Amino acid sequence: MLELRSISKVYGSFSALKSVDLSLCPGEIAGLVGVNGSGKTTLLNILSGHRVIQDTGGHGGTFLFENKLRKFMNPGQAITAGIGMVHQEFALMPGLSVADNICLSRECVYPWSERFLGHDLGCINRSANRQKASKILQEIGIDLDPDLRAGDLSVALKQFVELAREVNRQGLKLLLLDEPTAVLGAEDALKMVAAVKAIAAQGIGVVYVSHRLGEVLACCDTITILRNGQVEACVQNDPAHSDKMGSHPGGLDKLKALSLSMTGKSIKKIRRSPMGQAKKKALTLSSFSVDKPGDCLENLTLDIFQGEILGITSLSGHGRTAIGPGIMGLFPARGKMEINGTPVLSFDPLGMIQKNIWMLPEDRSNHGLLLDHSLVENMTFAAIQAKARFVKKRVFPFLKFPFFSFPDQKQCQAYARTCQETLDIDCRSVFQKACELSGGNQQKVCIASALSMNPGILFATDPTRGIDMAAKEAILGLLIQAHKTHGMTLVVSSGEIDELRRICDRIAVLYQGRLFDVLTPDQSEAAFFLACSGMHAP
Amino acid sequence: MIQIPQIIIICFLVLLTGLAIHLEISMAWIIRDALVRLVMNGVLVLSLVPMLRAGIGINFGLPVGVVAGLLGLCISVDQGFKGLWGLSAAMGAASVFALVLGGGYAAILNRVKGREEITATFVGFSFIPLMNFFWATAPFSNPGMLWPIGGEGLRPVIGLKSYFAKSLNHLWMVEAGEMKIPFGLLLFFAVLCLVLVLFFRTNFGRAMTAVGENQNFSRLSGINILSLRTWAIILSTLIAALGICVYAQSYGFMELYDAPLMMAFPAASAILVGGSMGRHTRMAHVVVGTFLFQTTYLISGPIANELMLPEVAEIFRLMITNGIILYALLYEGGKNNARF
Amino acid sequence: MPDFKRVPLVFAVLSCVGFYYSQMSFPFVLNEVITRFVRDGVMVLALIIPIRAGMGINFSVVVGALCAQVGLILALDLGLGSMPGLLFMALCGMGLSVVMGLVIGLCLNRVKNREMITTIIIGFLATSIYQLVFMVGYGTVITPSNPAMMLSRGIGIRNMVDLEMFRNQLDAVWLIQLGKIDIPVFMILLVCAFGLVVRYISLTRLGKQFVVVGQSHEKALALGIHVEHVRIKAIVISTLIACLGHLIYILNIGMLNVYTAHMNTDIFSCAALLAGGASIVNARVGHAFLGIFLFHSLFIVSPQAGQTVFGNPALGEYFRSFVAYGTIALALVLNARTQESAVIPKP
Repeated sequence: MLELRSISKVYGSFSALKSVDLSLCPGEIAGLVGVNGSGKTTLLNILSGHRVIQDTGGHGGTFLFENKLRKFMNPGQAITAGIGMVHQEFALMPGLSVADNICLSRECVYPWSERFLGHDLGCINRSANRQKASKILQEIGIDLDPDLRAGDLSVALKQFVELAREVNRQGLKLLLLDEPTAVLGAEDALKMVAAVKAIAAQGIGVVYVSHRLGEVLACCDTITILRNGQVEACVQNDPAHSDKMGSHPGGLDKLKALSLSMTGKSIKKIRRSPMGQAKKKALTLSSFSVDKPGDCLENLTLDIFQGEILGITSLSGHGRTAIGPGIMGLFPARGKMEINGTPVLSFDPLGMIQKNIWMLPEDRSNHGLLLDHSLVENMTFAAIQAKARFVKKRVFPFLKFPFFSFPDQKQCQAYARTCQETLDIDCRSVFQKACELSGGNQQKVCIASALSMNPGILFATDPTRGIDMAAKEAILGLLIQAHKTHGMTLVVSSGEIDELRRICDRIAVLYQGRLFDVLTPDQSEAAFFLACSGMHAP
Repeated sequence: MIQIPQIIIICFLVLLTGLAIHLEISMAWIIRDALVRLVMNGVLVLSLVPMLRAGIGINFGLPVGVVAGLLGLCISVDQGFKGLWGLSAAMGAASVFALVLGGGYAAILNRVKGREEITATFVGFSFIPLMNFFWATAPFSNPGMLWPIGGEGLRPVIGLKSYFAKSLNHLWMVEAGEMKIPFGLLLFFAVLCLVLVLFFRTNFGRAMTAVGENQNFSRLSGINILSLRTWAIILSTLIAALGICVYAQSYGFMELYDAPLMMAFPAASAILVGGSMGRHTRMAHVVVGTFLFQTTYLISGPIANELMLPEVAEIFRLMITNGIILYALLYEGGKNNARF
Repeated sequence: MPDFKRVPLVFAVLSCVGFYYSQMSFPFVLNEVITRFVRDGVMVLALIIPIRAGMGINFSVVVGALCAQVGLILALDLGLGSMPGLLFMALCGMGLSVVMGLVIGLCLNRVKNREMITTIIIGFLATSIYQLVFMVGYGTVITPSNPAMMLSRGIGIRNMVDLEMFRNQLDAVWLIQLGKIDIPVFMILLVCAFGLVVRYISLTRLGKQFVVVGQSHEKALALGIHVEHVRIKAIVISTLIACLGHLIYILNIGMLNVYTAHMNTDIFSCAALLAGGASIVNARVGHAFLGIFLFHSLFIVSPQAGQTVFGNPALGEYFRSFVAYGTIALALVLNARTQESAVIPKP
C-alpha cells in the first residue's frame, strides 16, 4: 500500500533525510524510531503533506501510495487521499465539544439542506454528530461523554479525541502517529496501544513514531530505525511476544539493541575526562517550575556544583530546554534558588546577569543574535547594555543620563578581533553581518558574547543544534576550553546524549519536568535511554 | 530603496513638473515653496522614526503628539508671546505636554503588542473628540483665540500673523536673484535630523534599535523592553509636538478641533515613499520621502486649478497617500508570507 | 468573560443617564431607535463573519456600501424606477460586491495579522476612487444617460439625489402604530431575516471552518481546511451583506448623499457591535441586535443631553464621537490582554 524509495529531503544546506526506504501493507503497524534529529518528523511531514516540505523545495525519491505516485501540496490533499495524522501538538478546538471535534470538516448534515445549498452550507445535524462520535470512541475503547468541552479534558483524553478524529475519516487508509503516548501515563499508554491495534485490525496501515521503545516492541510488526537521515536497520517484530515492557527476558536485550542502533558509533573527537566530585555548591534549585509552552518544569530540585560541567537531558517536552531560560526569567518561573548560599526569589534577566549568570539560547537566530548587525556589535552588545563594559569614558562625568553614553569602538573592535582568533571564527571581517555566517560560526559569536559577560555560571541549551558534524566538535571544544580558562560552571542541556557523555562530569536526566536521576558518563547508552523514558536500568 | 512606489511617484512628479513648466508656473516659487513644505511636514514625518526603529510600527496615533503641540501653541498665543521667542516658548510648553501625553499613550500601546498600529489609530481618533471638549470649554483668555460671539470656546482656526507666523521661515532667508532659500528653517531641520542620528548611536539608541530588531535577544541582554518602548513612543510624541509648531508657524494658522484627525496618514505615506521598510528607517527616507510627497502635493494644486477641476488635486492626493500605505502593507505582508 | 459583559452595561447606564438629561420623550427616542435598527441593522451583521474567521473588524464594509451606491446611481442614470430599478441596483451592487470582496480577500491574505489596519486603508482608497469616478469621471470620460443627475457645471454627479420613485416602497409595508410608536413590521422582519441567515451560516460546515481558521491557521491547515479560501469567502459574504444593508439604509432615508452617505458606516457599525458585547475575536447576532439598540439610544440622546447639561449641543456630539471611537480602542486594548485565552465563538 505504501512504498517509499530513496526518499531524501534537504533544507538549504542541511540534509534531513538522505535515502530512506519504507514499505507498509494494509493492516500493518510499522514502528519508526530514532533519536532527535534523525529525520522522523521530516518523514512524517512528507507523508502528511505538510506545507513546509513544498515551501522549502520539495523532496526527492519516490512516494508511492496505493500504487500511485504522490506529491502533496498541503495536508488537505493527503487527507483526501486517505492519510490521517495524529500530531504531537493537538489540532483540537478547545472551545468546541468532543463530538464537534471528532466530526470536524466531516460533519453530518441534514440531507435536504445539503441538496439545496451545497456541501459547505448544509445544516449540521448535531445529534447525528454525537452518535457518530460515541460510536468511534467506543471503537477505540474510550468511555467519554461527547458533549464535554474539549478544552476541559485532561491531556490524556485529548490525545484520544485526536485519535478518534482521525479514525473518523471516511476512507482512511494510512494513519500516522507522532508520539501518541508522549503525554500518557502507563495505563493510558496501554489503552492507546490497544486502540492502535484495533485500528490496524480494520485494515488500516499505521506508522507509529515513538521514543518509548517498550511500546514500539509491544505493537509494531516492523521497526525501522533512523539515524542521521538514513535507515540504520529494519527489524521484524512479533508483538504477540511482548505485552509489557521488559517482562519478557528477551525484551530488555531487544531494547538495548535498538538503542545502540539508534545512536550508532560516533566519531569521537572531543573527550574530556570528568573531574572528581566538587564539594562546593554553586547553585541550588528547589521546587523550581517553569512555564515554557511545550516544555515545562515541575518542581525541579537540582544541585549544581562549583566548577563542574553538568549535563541535562530528557525527551522532547520533558523540560530540558526550560532550565536556562527559566532561570534567566524569559519564561514565567517560580520556586527557590540559592546562589552560593544566598536565596533568590525572582527571576529576571538583569538580576541574573548581575549575579554572573548567563545563557546560550537554543534558538540562535531568534534569541542569540542581532542578525542585521555586525559581529562586533553582537559580541559586545550585552556587555555594553548590562555590564557597562566597552563604554567610552564620559566627556562630562556629571552628565549621568544613559542617553549620553557611547560605545568605545576601539575596545569593541579589539575584543572582536581577539575572539575571532581564539574562537577560530570563519568570516571575512569582524564588520560582517551576523546573518551571513554559517550556523557553527554564529554559535561561536554567541560564545564570544557570553564570554564578554564573564559569567560564573553559564547555561548552554542545545549548543550544537543545527550545526554540521565538524563544527559540533569545535563548539564542544570551545565550551570545554572556556570552562577551563575562565573557571566557570557550565550547565549544558542537550538531547544529544553522546555529546553529553563526552564532556560532562555528571548528567541529570529529567522526566516529565522533574529530576529523574543523575547518571555518570560511564554508564551505558541504554541506561540513558531507559532513564529518559522514566525507567531505571536493572 | 527604489521600488515601485518610488518609481511611480518620481514619474508622476516629472510629469507634473513638465505640465507646470508648460503652463508657465513660476519655478522659483515652486522651489522655494517645496523647501518650506519639506521642513514644515518633515518634522512630523521625522517623528515616525523612533517608533519605527523600536519595532512599534507606524505611529498612526500622531494626533496625540499634534495635540500636545497645539496645547503648547495655545499657551504661547494666550500669553501673547511674539516672534522667535514666542515660537520657542510654544515648543517648550509643547514638550512638557508631549512628555505627559506620550507617557499615557505609551501605557496603552504597551498593552497591545502586535496590534500597535490599529490601536494607535483609534486611540488617536478617540482622543480628538475628547480634546474637542477641551477646546470648546478651554480656560484661555486671549480674545483673538475665542469665538467672537459668546466669548467661550476656542475658534477652529486661529491666525498667528500677529504672533509668530513665519518667524522660523524668515530666519536667515538667503536671496539669490529670484530664489529665496529659507536657510534658518533648513538649518533647524538639519540640526534636528543630526540630533536624532546621534541619538541612535548612543547606547540607549542602540538598545532601542535592538528592541525593534529582536525583542528576545534584547530581553536576554538585560534591557527593559517596556521602558524602551515607552521612551520611543514619548520621543515620537515629542518630535510630533515640535513638528506641529513648525507646521503652524509656517502655515500661519493653528487648526484645532478635527484638523489633526487625519494627519498621520500623509506623514506615514511620505516616509513609505522615501523607502522606509519597517525597522529599516533612516533620515534619508524621511527627507527624500517628504520632498517627493510634498512637492507632488504642491505642484498638483495650481495645475488642477488651471485645468478647472480643483477637486481632482485633493482626490489624487488622497489616492496617492492611501495607495502608498496599502502598497507598503501588501509588500511587507507578501515578504513575510514568503518567509514561511 | 467579565470584561465584555461590562461594555453593554456601561452603554445601558450611559443611555439612561443621557435620556434623563435630554428630556426627550420616550416614544420619540424609541421611534428613532427602531428607525436606526432598520437602517443600520444589516450593516452591523456584515461585521460578524470576518470576526469569527479571525480577521478582526472588517472596516472595508464601506466598499460594500459604495457598491450599493454605484448600483443605485447606475439605476437612476438608466432611468429605471420602482421594482425593476430596485432589482437592478440590488443585483448590480451584489455583483460588484462579490468582485470587490474577492479583491479585498486576496489583499488580506497577504497581510495576515495586520488585517484591520489594511481594511481601513482599503476603505479610504475605495472612497477616493469612487469620488474620482463620480465627481470627475462623469461628464468627462463617462457620458451619463440622465443629465438631470449632473452638477450644473456639467462634470460630476449632484451632491444629493432624491429617491422619490423608491420611497415608501418598502418601509410603509405592514406599519403598525402603537400609540405614538411606529413599528415597521416588514422591515424589522427583513432585518431579522438577515440575522437568521448569518446565524444559519454559523450552523453549517462553512461556519465551523470560519471558527477553526479564526482560532489557528496551523490547526486549520492540519485538518485539511484551505485557510486562504475560507478567509476570502468570509470577506465576500461580509461585503455582500454590507452592500444590501446599505441599500436598505439609503432606501429608508429616501435620498442619497452621493459623497457622504457611506462615511463612517464602518466606525458606527463596529462601535454598535462592540457595544452589544462582541469582541475582536467573538461576535454573534445577539451582540449585533443588542448593540444597535444600546449604541443608537446613546447616539440619539447625546446632543440634547449636551445642550441641557452644558448648554452646548456640540459637546454632546463630541461625546458620542468619543464613545464610538473609544469603544473600538477599548476593545482592541482589552482583546490584546485576553488574546491567548480569548473566548472561542460558541457554535
